Amino acid sequence: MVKPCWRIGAGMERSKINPTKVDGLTWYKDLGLHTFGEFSMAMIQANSVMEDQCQIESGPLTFNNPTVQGTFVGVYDGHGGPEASRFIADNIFPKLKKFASEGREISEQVISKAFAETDKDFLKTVTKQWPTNPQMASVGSCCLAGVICNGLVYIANTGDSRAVLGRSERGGVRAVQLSVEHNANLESARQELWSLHPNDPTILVMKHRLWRVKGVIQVTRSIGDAYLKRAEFNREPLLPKFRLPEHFTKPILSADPSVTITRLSPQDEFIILASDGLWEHLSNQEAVDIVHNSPRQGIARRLLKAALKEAAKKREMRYSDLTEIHPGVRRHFHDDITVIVVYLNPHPVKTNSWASPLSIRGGYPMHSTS
Amino acid sequence: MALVRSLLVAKKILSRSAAAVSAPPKGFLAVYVGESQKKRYLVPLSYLNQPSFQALLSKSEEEFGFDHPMGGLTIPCPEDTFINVTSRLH
Repeated sequence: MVKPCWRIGAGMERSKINPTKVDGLTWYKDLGLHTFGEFSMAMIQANSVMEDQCQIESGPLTFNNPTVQGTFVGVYDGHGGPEASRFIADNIFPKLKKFASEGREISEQVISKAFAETDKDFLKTVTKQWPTNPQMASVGSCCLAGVICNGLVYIANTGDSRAVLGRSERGGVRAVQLSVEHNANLESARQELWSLHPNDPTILVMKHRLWRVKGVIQVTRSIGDAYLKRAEFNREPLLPKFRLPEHFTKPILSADPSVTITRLSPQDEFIILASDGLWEHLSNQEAVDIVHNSPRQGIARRLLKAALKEAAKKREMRYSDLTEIHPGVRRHFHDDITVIVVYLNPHPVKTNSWASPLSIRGGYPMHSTS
Repeated sequence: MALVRSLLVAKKILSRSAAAVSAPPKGFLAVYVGESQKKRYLVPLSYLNQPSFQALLSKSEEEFGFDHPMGGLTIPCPEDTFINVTSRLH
């Protein structure tokens, strides 16, 4: 049975008690309340400019139908600069609400339209800025969005961030991956690109022991990356390393999200949404085990720390030393990392979020060095 | 220069004994240096703030991206270049 979305969180009140914090390169909110339960968020910067962005929105998901209540979670992992991920964080949720208002409900189509229009509008910005800021054409972002509404969880993904569900099972918890990823180092993503570009022998090139689209980028779908979508940007003054040697007519990257829809069951405890910076150090099962076996307060920061400890081990150094490294050079040790844990509360929380919806944004402005 | 060389040798010896234990000494990290064969050195963390050392890391980024094959940072320059650069650092 599809459950109605009547469980409303008291986000604003909780935000005041437990505000978002910045500690060095870490941004976090240890515990908050969304429509269906609690959540925890944490981010850490490694690049000289933080390229990850994230947000959680809870409350009405349309402008005209107060019965459609839910939680929207976004993780945006930018590359080539922070502009695309920031643009998504500014635009995708209002667009989702706009399209959801047209049909007065949430659907796969509504979410896909929000992705498409966000990409289209970002490319318009790139066109506008081309004469003064041509490097915007090489800025892009992965986009992972989760919508929990009506007893369903929609996971829409463009790029290689990941959403993993923790489902309780005989004394433990099992990791169920909800997102479909688009990275050239996955066989499925390579097959897709080869079938879409059968006449391009260099659509995928192995470089630095990794597969890259046109030898330049690992993700096979993204928001932005105008230089791989429209040939008009494949020219000077775009930096030579982003220019392709041959003309193309068909977009090489697409912004189309892969969407999965899962009906939530009482066994579903939580969902972890994170940028690939986390998943390169923690397996799905390791991450869900940590969440299952730890207190909720500060769980996102705990996952961050577990990933950083792994990163330190790989680089043959101490964790305490890793935490001292400045942004920029720190990128040699780990990527920007965003992690959001959304707990799925089976019991309704009755308050009024129509009057005060929850809205939290992470990752901006943070530190900026060059 | 001779002193610096012997210091680096000392670090190399330190690195061999450190390889057996789980964590390197506090304030140091391992780097793998060389073109075909890689030698493991332990360098102080303070090197990471030095522009000349950062330039070596940028070279390595060009070759490996951020995915280092040995796990530890790999600097694919000739060992002499590495010694030359690091001998100027404090």
